[in-house]
Amino acid sequence: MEMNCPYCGSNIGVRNRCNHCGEDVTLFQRAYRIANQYYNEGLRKARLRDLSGAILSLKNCLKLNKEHTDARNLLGLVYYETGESVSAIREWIISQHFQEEDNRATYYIGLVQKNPSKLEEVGQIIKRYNGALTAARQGSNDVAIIQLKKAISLNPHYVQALQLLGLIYIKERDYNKARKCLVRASKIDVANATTLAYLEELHMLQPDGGSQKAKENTLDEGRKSRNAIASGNQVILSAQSYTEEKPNIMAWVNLVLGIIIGAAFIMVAIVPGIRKNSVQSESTELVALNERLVKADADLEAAQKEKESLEQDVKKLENQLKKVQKELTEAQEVPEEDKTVYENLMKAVVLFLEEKEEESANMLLSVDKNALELESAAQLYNKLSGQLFAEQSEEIYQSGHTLYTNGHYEQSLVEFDKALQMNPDNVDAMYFTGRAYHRLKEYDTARIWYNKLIEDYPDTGRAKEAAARLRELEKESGT
Amino acid sequence: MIDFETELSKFQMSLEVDQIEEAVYHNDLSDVTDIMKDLLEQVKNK
Repeated sequence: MEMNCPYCGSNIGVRNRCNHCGEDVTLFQRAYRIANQYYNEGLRKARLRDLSGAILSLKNCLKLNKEHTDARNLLGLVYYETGESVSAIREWIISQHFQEEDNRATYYIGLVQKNPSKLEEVGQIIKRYNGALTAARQGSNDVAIIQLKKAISLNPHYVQALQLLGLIYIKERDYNKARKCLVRASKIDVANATTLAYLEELHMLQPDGGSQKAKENTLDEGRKSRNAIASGNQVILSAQSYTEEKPNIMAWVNLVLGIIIGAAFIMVAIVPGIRKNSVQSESTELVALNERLVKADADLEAAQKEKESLEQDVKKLENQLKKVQKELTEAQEVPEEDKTVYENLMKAVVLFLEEKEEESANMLLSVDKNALELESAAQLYNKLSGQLFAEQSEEIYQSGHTLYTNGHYEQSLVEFDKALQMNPDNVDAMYFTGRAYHRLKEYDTARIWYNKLIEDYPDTGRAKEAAARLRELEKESGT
Repeated sequence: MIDFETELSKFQMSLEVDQIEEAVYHNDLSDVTDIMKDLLEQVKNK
């Protein structure tokens, strides 16, 4: 087995003495061999998903040879698999310290560093688990259950969280839920002593009303876990053996001398300075990493603020644009009603030019003079109405009078009304309007028209006639 | 029959992300090799 000299660090191959510094390394070679045995054992257990057993073996390996990077990397992976992400990162960082190049730990750390959100999520999961543990210790099991459920939903492989949730469910006598949690935990770490102990406890506690099938499943899980270890590992380990690690006796015999003496001098042997130097570079690196992370966060935050500000500016400009467009549209739009007024005025002008006076007058009558905002249009209206209305009013009156004479009183009223619209001073139209209502025996309306003539046009012949008709009307109506 | 309180006390708080640096710094990295080296050094000095 090739190794580096523990004294000077130079490669000594398989020799018992270092050619460089001349030190005897026999004892160290023996320790490293045993460390390798532990590593192989840890690897076998990890492959069988006996993760807690693998952790113990790998820790033993590292106690013998702290620079065994394969063991440390595997320990990190096993921690990661059981949800202990921070412990995993810790092992990878230490591994990187001992072997800077060609180290798988660099890849693992890189994966975590590349994904800050994942690191944040890991932090959240652990906070929830720790919060749940505190709540459970304070008797708030409901709070603890909620926190643990969330932690497990984020990391379904979090063995400790599953175990704690199972324990709380047992306490709450919710045995079915407890079993589900513990069975899940046992599938991740098949021979975990705590999980198996709780499953056994659950089996004893399960009341008679519990599902027989579920009970069998619980027992099956325990048996499967033990069988998996027994069948996959030539060194048969019972499930109980994981509660207390029983390492190879021969391995301990080989080490007994060094361990016994080492125990006596342990206080002297551990030099704080060694630890400090060995982790100093990692600490610096970690600090630098944290600083970069903080800077990146600050940059992101600034960029987000800038983006929000720009979005607000864009929104404001869009609103202004909409407002201007609306005003422009309103300014350009001419109401439909106004269009009709001007169109009718123009039509009336055209008809007049075509010497169709009656049609022109009727068209002009449909034009609301008050709606003509343009002064030139109003002037045109006045000029045209001055030329048309007086003459046309007389002609329409004649037409109405013919209808009246023939007894068509209601139809005649339409004509008289038109004549009066064209010429409000047409006293003939006014008089026969009164007469038509009189004939229709609408005395009140007839009286209004007679009185209008008498009062407004007292000097006219129609006013006198109206007065005579009014007297007749009073007699007829009996008032 | 397990005791809830006793079992609960066995559960440990998980290391949080902001404790990584502390965990690395305070990790006892001494191994048997270090102890043996010290022992041999002591013996030699005697």
